[in-house]
Amino acid sequence: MSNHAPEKSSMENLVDSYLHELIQMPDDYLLEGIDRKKTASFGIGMLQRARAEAGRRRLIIAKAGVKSVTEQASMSSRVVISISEAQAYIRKASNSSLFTLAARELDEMSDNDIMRLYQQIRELEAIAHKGSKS
Amino acid sequence: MGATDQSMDRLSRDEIQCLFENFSDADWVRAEKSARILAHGLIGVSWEDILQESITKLLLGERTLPRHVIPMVALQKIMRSEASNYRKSFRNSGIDTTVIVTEDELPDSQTVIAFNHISPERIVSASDELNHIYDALGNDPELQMVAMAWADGLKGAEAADAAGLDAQSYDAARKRLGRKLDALAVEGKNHE
Repeated sequence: MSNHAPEKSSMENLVDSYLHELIQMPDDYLLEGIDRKKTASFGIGMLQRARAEAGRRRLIIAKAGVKSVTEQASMSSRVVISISEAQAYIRKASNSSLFTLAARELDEMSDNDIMRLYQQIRELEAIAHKGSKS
Repeated sequence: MGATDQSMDRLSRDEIQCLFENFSDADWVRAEKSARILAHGLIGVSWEDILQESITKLLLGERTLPRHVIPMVALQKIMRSEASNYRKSFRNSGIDTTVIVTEDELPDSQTVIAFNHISPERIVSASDELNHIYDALGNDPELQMVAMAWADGLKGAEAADAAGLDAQSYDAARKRLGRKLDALAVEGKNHE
């Protein structure tokens, strides 16, 4: 198997050679006719802009990280349980004075409805718990 | 090689920042000229964008600067890669910016949003571009010879030999050719 890099075009070669020569050229060649003040302030400005942009991106990444942690925490609070466990929990909750559950047979509900109901009960419990504390 | 060994091989972010803070005027001129030629042919993305993006990624640690490589060489490689990414993004964007849409062709009550901020490159074949350069050097056979040597992938003394120039004449010729290339890069930009 060949690991050769793809052959460069003549134009790419020319650019390569120019870039190479730029490195080799003495400083005074490059600075001939150049406004040194302008060049210096360009450099400072360029670095400032790059630094500001890097800071902005770091902030976005940090915010995304916080959001992801919050979402993970929220997901983990949604305990993974089986349908039968959820049904048992709902039956128990239906005896509580906190909830008025429709007289509907749990067995007739779809799995999705059971899980949704279970989640709602847990959330209402959490709110009630919070309210009783304050 | 462990992670620590690898990180020792590269400049840290602080070192990179320090490096740019201590860039000489000549270094900034090299960076500018390199960015100009590498951004040549890109529309909507300036050479300054290419340079800034490269420095930004170095500061973020998304690009690295190996200790054993001359920093300017590494910066040129990063800029080349950035310019190449913009070109690829354009090719994959499917936007045809050669189409000019007049105001009355735009649908009413709609905001036209550029969904891809990466602008397209002008599609000019490499050979057309090279011929354009040769044409621009028409009155200076020395420059043409050097340009041809460079296009053949030759550099430095080899290029001087191929162009039949002594070291002094080659120095002067590469300086003039550099100026021509800078001017062509600027001219390309003005035509966008």
